[in-house]
Amino acid sequence: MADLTPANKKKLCILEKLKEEWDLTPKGPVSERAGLASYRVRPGGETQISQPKFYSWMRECDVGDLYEFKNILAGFQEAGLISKFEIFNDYE
Amino acid sequence: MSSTLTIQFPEDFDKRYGKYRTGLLGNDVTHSNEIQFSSQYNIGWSSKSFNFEDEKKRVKFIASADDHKLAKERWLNIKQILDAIYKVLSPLIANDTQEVSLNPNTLSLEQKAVFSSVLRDMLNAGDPDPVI
Repeated sequence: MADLTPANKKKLCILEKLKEEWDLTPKGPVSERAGLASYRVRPGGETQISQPKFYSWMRECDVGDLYEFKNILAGFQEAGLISKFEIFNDYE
Repeated sequence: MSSTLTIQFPEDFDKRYGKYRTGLLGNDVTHSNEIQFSSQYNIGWSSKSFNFEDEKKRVKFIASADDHKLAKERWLNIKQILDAIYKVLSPLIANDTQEVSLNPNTLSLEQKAVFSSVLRDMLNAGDPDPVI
């Protein structure tokens, strides 16, 4: 078993979470409600993850805070693993 | 206020994932959060059987975001339960001198159903005799 640094363990753990998401993500466009009577088309390969879920990833993967989590994702983006990511606030 | 993480994957994510993972681990494949027992695991779910891998394939072809979200969460919840059960039972598979106890009364009805199926699967595979 390879000896991983704590940083690489975290990366690997988040990477496996992303793989799990990817495996369940539609590769074609998905229609999504954008209001009472309107829809938008979400492009294939795009996934949305709720706050409780990505916070549970952080706990499971021993990622200390959101700043560290974003840094890991930014590293994945730089490595070409993900095309882009964004965390946006949901307004009621 | 809550927030949502949106991720756009490249089309060839699988290839990139494999390359990146190998870069981290070398050729070591032992680091995995995948369920280790039968990937074709069938779970008795109400009146029909739930095939873990078939359901996974079905989920990614759902074209409505709401339906997809529900199906995805259901699949992930079941995987979480199976992972937890496997974590408890895996020492029995690796070394039959170890003893693991689990009180079925602490499980929910759905978890009990999955747990029973896991025990049946182990018995059929000739793994150590579980004592209930």
